[in-house]
Amino acid sequence: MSRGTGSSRRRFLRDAGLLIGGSALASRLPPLETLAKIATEAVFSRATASIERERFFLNINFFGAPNRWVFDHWLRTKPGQNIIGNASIATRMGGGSTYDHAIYETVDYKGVQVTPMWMTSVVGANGTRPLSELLDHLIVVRGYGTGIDGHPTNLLRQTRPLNSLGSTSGYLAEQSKTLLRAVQYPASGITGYASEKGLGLTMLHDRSGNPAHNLADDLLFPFGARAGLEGVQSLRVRYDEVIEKVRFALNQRGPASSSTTVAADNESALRMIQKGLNDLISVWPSLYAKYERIMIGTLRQRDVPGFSDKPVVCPADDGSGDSPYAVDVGAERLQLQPGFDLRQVFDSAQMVRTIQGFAMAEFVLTHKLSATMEIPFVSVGNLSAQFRRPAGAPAEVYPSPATRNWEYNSDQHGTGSFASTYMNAAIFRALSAGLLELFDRLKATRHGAGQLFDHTVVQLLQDFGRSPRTTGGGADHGWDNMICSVLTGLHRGGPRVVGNISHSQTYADIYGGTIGYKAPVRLDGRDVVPSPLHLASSMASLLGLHHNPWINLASPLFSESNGVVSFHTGDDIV
Amino acid sequence: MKSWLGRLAWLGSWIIGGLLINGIFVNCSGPFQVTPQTLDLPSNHPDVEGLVAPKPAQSQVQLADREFIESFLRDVFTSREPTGAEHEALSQIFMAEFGPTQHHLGGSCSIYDEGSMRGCYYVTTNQFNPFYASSSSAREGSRYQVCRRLVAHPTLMAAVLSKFPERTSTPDDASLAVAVSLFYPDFQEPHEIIASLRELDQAAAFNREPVADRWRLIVLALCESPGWQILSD
Repeated sequence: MSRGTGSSRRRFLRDAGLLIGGSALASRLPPLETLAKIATEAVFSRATASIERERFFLNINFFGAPNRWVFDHWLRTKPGQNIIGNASIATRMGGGSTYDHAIYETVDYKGVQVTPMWMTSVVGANGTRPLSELLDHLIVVRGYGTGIDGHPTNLLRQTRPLNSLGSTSGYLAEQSKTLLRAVQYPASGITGYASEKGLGLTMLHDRSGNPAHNLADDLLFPFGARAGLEGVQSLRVRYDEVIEKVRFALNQRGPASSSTTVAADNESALRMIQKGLNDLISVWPSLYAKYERIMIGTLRQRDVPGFSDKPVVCPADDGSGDSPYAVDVGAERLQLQPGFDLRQVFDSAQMVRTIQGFAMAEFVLTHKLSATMEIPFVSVGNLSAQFRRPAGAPAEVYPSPATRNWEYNSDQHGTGSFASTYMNAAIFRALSAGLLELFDRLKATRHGAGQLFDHTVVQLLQDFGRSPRTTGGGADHGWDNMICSVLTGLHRGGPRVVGNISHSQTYADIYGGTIGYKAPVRLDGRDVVPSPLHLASSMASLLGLHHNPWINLASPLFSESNGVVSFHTGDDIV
Repeated sequence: MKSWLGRLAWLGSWIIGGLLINGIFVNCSGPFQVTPQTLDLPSNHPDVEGLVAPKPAQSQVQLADREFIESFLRDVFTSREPTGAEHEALSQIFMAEFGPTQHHLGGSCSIYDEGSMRGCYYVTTNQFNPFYASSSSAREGSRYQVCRRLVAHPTLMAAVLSKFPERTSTPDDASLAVAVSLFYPDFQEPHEIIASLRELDQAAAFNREPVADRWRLIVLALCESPGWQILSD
């Protein structure tokens, strides 16, 4: 490490020298004392600036791409703004004594039209809490697209828009000094992590089959205890001091003599192994239990105005096929049984993988073990509902009503607005409840002079938006009406929407209405239709990347400087 | 005149002061490092305090990758005519310890491991990792674990001892020299290292440790040491 050390020393002396010229003359201190003062200040300001610029990134991927009308794909953002309706776009349940259809409605929050979901309360660690707390830190990015279909293709392009370069998470990992730098749970090849310098990604096996499994133990595997090695471990500890002398003699003689980095890593690994991880990893069961209580509790809430405070039932005379009351159940497209209360759908539902992901996110971030963390969402299993017999199906093999248990299908081609509005609201509320709890912990964790939350950026990403069918019966892929959200302590004061959308679109005969289709924005004095390059460039700024690799191709739609986020485009419908 | 002399004295004090400061950092303090931010751990999580090593984002040294490390250790822990049992034991240890930490070791994961991408965790994210990895605590942790497993394995320790002079039963200077050469073949006359190993063995002998454990300590101390994995610095 002689080169690195020398470089630091030279940089220090240069900085000190530059500062001398301006500051010392104004000082009344004798020269030597002034020099020492400036030298000290230079060191501290560098260390402080480094910490103040440090970022932590949590990327939550909604695999499959559910429609987000009820959550953050708001369309209308200003009072009086007109949109052209579409039967598949709804934001709350509607009806009389029961909820029997879904409607589009927005409400005002700090001057922005948001969806009614945000005015509800969710389960917290200590009772219920308003969901709107999240809105103060929310940035919605919309109106961009790729012009090409494909689930993984589009997910990848939003974090790694150019194959020849790395991903946003990869660049952040490269400039990080955290222990593991980049972590993903569960291991997945389609989230786009790529490091230009080749930093590997710590991937953890999917343990969702065993909710009791301690994932913190997996994460810190290199430092954990090993069964059967107790004898060697005990022997090693008894002669630790003498072995230290051997190590010293070897380091003096060998190549390690000039590598303080390797020697330091070697020493810290030994300390971690010897200290043991029991205290550290013993928190895992309580972490998992906490998020399970909060997220599952929210998922099953029965008193949510506009969603679950009345029975949610489909009318008896509904049609069949491509209708608002259809649901994709595995490979089948079924119609809900008339009279069945859809509120029962989550009574035995589980979301183990997602809960594990949130517990892992808190563990990793609050211990600052990694700069970047990727977890999945939209993994909800064991849904249960009653369905009608499909037309033409024989009664002897297909009873009616038929109870089905299935895993939530987030690629909602055939799930109509009735079921998707109800189920998506519950699922996004559960996600938001988890985020609120996570943010509480980040706010309680110090980083530099402030809170860790002020250094954390959460991106809610998915493959693409949806193209809703005018029948109300579902939504197909929406690669030119993409949507994602960012939540961060860097942004305060209310929701902001970035990106224009158009009333018009391709295939308008099938997907009529205002569906969030991409539209030009005014950027750098030009009209530009945003693409994932603009999203990545914006994230590069928010994540404090030392170098924005996409800056020459796409200006940021929003950027951060000195802790202030600035927005460079509007949110109009053009 | 007085003013001119005063200015000269003022300038002189600057120069002397600068030289003194420079001397402090160049000659007295060893490697100059700003306190790393990784040590700024959350106050409400005292259990991890001090566990993370200070290090730069990119190491300047070139470290051996997984293939090299496995090949190197396979050479040390097999007899002159290796048996299938030795190779099998080594493979199991490497897979158990290095498999989950492949990305810390350098080199790409193997999409051909057992024909199932097991070494890549069934995804291709790490398949293009470069040969040279950065130094990290996790990498060193994996090496510690492998070394402990290796010296705990009777067959593999027997393979190491089979390389020593035939008369060897307890460690002596000749056998210690052979042990050093297994890990550091380029060291010429490593007297101070042999002396430190002798001291280690004497401490173990004083405590009446079994001879097998005395050898384990010696091989473990060498295996754990970071120097043999450094290709260039």
